[in-house]
Amino acid sequence: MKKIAILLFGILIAATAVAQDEGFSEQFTVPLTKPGERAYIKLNQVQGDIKVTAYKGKEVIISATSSGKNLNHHGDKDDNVPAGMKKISSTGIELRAKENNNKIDINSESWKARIDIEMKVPANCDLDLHTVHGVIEITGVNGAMDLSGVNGGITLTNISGSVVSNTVNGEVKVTLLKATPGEPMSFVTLNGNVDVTLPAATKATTKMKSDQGDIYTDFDMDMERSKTNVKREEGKYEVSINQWVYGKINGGGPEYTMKNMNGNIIVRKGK
Amino acid sequence: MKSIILILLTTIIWPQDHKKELKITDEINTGGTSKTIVIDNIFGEISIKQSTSSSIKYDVTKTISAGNESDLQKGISEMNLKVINRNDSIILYLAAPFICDKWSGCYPQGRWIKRDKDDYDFVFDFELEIPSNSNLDVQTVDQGNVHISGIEGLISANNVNGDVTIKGARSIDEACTVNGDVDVYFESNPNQDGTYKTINGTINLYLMDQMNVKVTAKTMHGNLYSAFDYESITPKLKKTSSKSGESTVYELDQSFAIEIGQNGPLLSFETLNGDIYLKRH
Repeated sequence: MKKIAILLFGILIAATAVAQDEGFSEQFTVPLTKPGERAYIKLNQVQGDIKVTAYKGKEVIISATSSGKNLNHHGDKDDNVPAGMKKISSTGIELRAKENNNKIDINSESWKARIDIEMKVPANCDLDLHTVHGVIEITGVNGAMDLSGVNGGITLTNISGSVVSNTVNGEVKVTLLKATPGEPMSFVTLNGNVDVTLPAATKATTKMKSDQGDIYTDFDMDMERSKTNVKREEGKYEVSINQWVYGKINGGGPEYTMKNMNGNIIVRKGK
Repeated sequence: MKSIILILLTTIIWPQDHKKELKITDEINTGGTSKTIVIDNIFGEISIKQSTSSSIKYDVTKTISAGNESDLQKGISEMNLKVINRNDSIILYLAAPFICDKWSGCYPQGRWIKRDKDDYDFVFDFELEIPSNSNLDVQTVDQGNVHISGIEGLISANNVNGDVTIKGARSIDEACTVNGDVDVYFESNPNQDGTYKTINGTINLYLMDQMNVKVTAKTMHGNLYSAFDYESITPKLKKTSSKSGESTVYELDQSFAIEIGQNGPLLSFETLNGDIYLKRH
């Protein structure tokens, strides 16, 4: 019951966050110390989407949009406006980007007010992106990605490299053009589909579990149920069976974990 | 519970058994030139009014209270107001063996107070009448407000536990407190960029019609309200390099940036727990 309450609350917050006011946006460019070399970008958001697109330039272009809506303050104080005065909604954006030796650390004060961040980055770029109320969308980037969300999906389109992705309420949808060989990956959500397209030649061992849904694939997987675990300890005897399904693609390789509770897991064969 | 209240009451009342108020007054002739007046107070209020004459008149009430007569006498003799009158400045500050500050030369960076025991309490209330063209740099810490009226020179006013009120000014560089309100009344258009801050309090800025100001504001739990029509303006991007020179920081840090009228000076406001009001008067 408690879980359902928490879930509902999460969905409620997500719903209020969608209601947007007129926005205000600001764009700025962060040059890299070593242009042309691999960059690393770190961003932790509380309220706001993160969208990253690869482009041909050598700088990182950050545009931030504040919607003017504020989760923490919704509804309060509006009745306290003194006669003859107008409340000025917060239009500005509090954002700090620190560049040091191709590492960019972005700090948005998005716990106060929602800030959506869009970035254009050089294609070779590692990403470390986290948000609570918002979606993560990445297109065309080649690098190691560590992504997490809570109320919002994760959509990765035509990316290369390796991915560790985790969200709670939202779909994880990934189209991988080229996977870094030997690198384990993870695609996890609680409520939503896990939809992953892997290159046809990928060598991997998938480890999958969907509590309430089904698992689909068009790969010729060498399927294997997990073995029954038997544990003997000081005369006690414990047998456990878990629901993990293992599937070897092209003879197997690093472990790709795919897991959800409500929703299906779909593993597609790409080109 | 009753006993705790009793103990609290006795500790508050006890030191005031022996109390003495002394008046220190003087008048300094400026000869018509504009002077900068510095007041560095600790406990007590600062009240400054515009004078009709060209002289600076101060009226300071020194209040010493102690638990016994000998401590009272000690306070009266060692706790004193000092006045420096040199070049273009007049400096009024407090001197005692336990106060170490830039005026006594013992700690140039600021001030620290070291007392073995608080054998007496001291409060200095400042009342000044000064020519309107004087510049002011005044501060107090506790047990009093800062009140300035009719001074058109450059003003910097600071408090910690109390309000800062400025009326009829033109040039305010700084009006800041921590636990108190900042109230500023402009009767003519401000001609100076300035900073207005409080942590736990409200900022009230009173402007007349047809005035021109730019306002940036930063607040954590408060809001900005305006009685005037305004245009939102784009906050400026700050670019700073760190000390090592290795990392560069790009920063946008104003929550609000608006313009009332045109080409006015930039007034920067900052609160943490209070609202900011731009009012008409």
